[in-house]
Amino acid sequence: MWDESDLDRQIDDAARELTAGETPAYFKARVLDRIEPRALPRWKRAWLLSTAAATVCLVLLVILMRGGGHPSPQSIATNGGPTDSPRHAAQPLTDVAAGPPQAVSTPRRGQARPAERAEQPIDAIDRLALAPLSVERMQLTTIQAPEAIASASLDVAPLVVTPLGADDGSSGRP
Amino acid sequence: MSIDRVTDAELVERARHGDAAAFGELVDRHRNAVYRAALAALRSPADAEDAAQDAFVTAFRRLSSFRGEASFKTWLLTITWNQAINHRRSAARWWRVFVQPRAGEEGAAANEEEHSSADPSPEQALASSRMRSDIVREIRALPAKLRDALLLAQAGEYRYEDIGAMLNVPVGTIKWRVSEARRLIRRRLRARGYSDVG
Repeated sequence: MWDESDLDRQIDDAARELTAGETPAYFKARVLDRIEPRALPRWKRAWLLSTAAATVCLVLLVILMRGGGHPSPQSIATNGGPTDSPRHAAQPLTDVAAGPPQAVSTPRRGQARPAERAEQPIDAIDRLALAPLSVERMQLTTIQAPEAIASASLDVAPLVVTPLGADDGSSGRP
Repeated sequence: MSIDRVTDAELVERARHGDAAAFGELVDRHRNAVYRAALAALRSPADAEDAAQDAFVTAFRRLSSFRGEASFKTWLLTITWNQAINHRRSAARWWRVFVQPRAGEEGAAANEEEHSSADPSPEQALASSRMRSDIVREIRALPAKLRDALLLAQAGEYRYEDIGAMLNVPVGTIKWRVSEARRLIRRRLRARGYSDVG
């Protein structure tokens, strides 16, 4: 019914059909689109950059809002000072108990005064930059001179000196 | 000079310097060869198209490593085959093959019907159609190395040297695999009742 050459021809035809086909018309355009993804339009780049900047600002704002609150004097008195700031912990207790006079008026690290915020440019890249560090003024308490050491006067009994007698020298001999 | 007359090597050189049109011409020249190689490995036209796109994109990114020792087409087909084999191994593709209907098989069945309609008598048409179905089934049941060699050899796009470079084996091995694939199919057809075969 089928000789070998017929069958080989049938096999080859079947194999050819299994690999028959052509790429669709849009194939080239898709390939070229994929090899040039880096050439984004300017508006798309600006949009991506502004979105990233807004995200960073939002994250910073959340961080500042969470960590920006000042501890109450009661909590300081019980804890001995805020635990998140070694600088505050190092301050004398008396100064802290009187209230944080400098911390109210002086911005913390990362915080900008309202006037500075208004002056900041709205450029996206500048918004990414951290605000300049503002360091609280150090309060140096005057060191009190130590009290003078007053030594108590020594009471010494007066010595009585008596002259030796003539027999005093032989009285101890056998 | 018209871009049609420019050689592949010149187009590669232009594409290296960022000429997208030059690379587009290379895509036009070799898209079908690349697609058919991917189809030989993957069976599914959709998967083959994805792999062919990946191959061109990979080739573009590796243009600087093309030394010109082989032809651009051979180099491109080697990349294509590697992409297709990676695709074939992916679990996602297996999911699509087993769960979704096979467009490739539907196309093959349509071709079979078209082929059988040209036969003169209904009996012969039926016999030819059955035999073609059995042959297709046996081709797909072949070991991957024999099946790949047979399909690539019969695709009509590649020289044995190209196939050898794609599969990374000597030309003699390719020829042996094609011959062995035919012999195995004949033997299995005989076992199916095609008694006069082989």
